[in-house]
Amino acid sequence: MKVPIRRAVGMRFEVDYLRAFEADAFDAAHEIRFLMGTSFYLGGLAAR
Amino acid sequence: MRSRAILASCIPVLMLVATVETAGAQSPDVEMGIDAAVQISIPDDGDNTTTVDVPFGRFRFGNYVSDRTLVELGLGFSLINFSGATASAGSGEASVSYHFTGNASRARAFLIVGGGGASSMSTMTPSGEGSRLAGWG
Repeated sequence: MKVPIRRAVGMRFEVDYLRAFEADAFDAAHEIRFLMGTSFYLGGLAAR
Repeated sequence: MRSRAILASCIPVLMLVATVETAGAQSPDVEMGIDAAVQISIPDDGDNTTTVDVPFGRFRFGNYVSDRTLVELGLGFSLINFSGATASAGSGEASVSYHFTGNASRARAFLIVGGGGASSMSTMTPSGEGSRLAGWG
């Protein structure tokens, strides 16, 4: 018997603060990251 | 202010295919995503750096362990060209997100805590470690 997989698509916004323990030329000591992405939901969460 | 562009990612695409195939066996409760990012680096003793990820810099895969708690893994790959030098770096991170509202909400605010690491392959950047302490979205 096949179990139906529910699907949904959403947007996600995120702001991160990152702290590097070993800083060098590229790994700065403090970083702020703004993320905007697409999320794909599978399963029970998509149906709610 | 310097800038560097992150171009492509191969590992996340392979992870996406593997995840979809395993999802057919049972009804999962998962979230997958790809994110574009703008990252501002503020070193203690240098110039600020702004990084723009094109088309996306991170792939993430998460599993809801409860209605409000998401355990998530993220992978990224960067190719950086700066002042004639080229460097590549892979990164991975693990995090736990707590959502303040239930699943019925259209917009769900969450607090995320996690950590991760990055490896760079260049004479300019031998290695690096990082940790994401907290985020809000």
